[in-house]
Amino acid sequence: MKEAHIINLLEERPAPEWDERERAMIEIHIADCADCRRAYRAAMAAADLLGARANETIEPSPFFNARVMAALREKQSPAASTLAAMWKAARALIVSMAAAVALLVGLTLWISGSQSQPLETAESENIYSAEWVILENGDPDDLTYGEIMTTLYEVVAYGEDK
Amino acid sequence: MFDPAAIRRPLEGALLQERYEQASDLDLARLARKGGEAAFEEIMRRYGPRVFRIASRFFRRREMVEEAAQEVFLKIYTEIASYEGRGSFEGWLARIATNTCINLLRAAGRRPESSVEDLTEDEIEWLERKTARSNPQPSSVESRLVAADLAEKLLETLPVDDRVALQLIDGNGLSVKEVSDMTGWSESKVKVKAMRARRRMRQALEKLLEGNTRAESAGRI
Repeated sequence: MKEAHIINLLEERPAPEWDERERAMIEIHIADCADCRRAYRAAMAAADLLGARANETIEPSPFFNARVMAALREKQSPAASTLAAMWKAARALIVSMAAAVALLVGLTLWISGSQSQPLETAESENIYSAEWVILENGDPDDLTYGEIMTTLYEVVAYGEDK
Repeated sequence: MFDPAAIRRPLEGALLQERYEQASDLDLARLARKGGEAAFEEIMRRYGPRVFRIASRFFRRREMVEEAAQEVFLKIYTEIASYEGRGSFEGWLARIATNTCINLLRAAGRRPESSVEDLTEDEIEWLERKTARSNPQPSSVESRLVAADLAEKLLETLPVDDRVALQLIDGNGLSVKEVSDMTGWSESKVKVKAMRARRRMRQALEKLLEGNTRAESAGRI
């Protein structure tokens, strides 16, 4: 057994669970094997550290029970539960309102986007409107044939509607 | 109109209050389930130290231990209806306490492994004593405190489940079966986690001890 390394044994069970035979085997092995000796020393140090940590215990403070009972009452109080229910309902309402606002904003943007294109087209197509002829062009002698025809067409159409 | 029950009721209450201390765990659990605050207070009085001992295994700062213990009792109160008296009340409570602490530890997260290398002077001295065979560790309160600090540093780098298995078995001397009962994990899971934690802890300490020996030799040169 002298040749077999003891690292598996160190990892398998805690030191207090090793029996006499295992302890003797470890002692013989670490006398010649530097790696296992190092591992054994580290395992012993770990056992000491864990033992020291396990001895630390904190006792309840005198007000601990009162604090827990207060927390329990707070948890159970109707005011707290009403507030919680109100918040729950309000949260659902806020979420649905936010969703509705987002939907409206989306729809508005979509509609304005789809309407702006035809308006621009209409403007570009109908640049010789009656208003344009009167307000922008000033002197009717400078009008082109196209401008005159468009203006005439609008006046006729307006007259027919009337 | 004279109502004898009206007089009897407070008397019964007072008698009951006096009997809480003698009441069995199951009776207290039944009363607490019906909203009996005095019964629950008796449970806390009876098992407060036990819950604190469990929480102290996982947390070191008083405020953390108290917070964990409060969380445990609030959970016990809400889950007391599920205790039917089949197993021991203490076992049921220990299981809730252990699992609550494990969840709190998980929420706190792990410490990076590199942080273990930042040792204090006292911790280095503790390791030096450990390296020198002829110089045994003093068993003073200070030395134990230093060892507990170093242990905590190393434990914080381990995965939470591994840490729990190692602490409960190697630190607190519990059997694999006891840890399995407390955590609800299978015995083979407990064994694997403890083995893995033992290896990691040993390797981390080997590194620290080796670094210490090297520093010592360099100092001698």
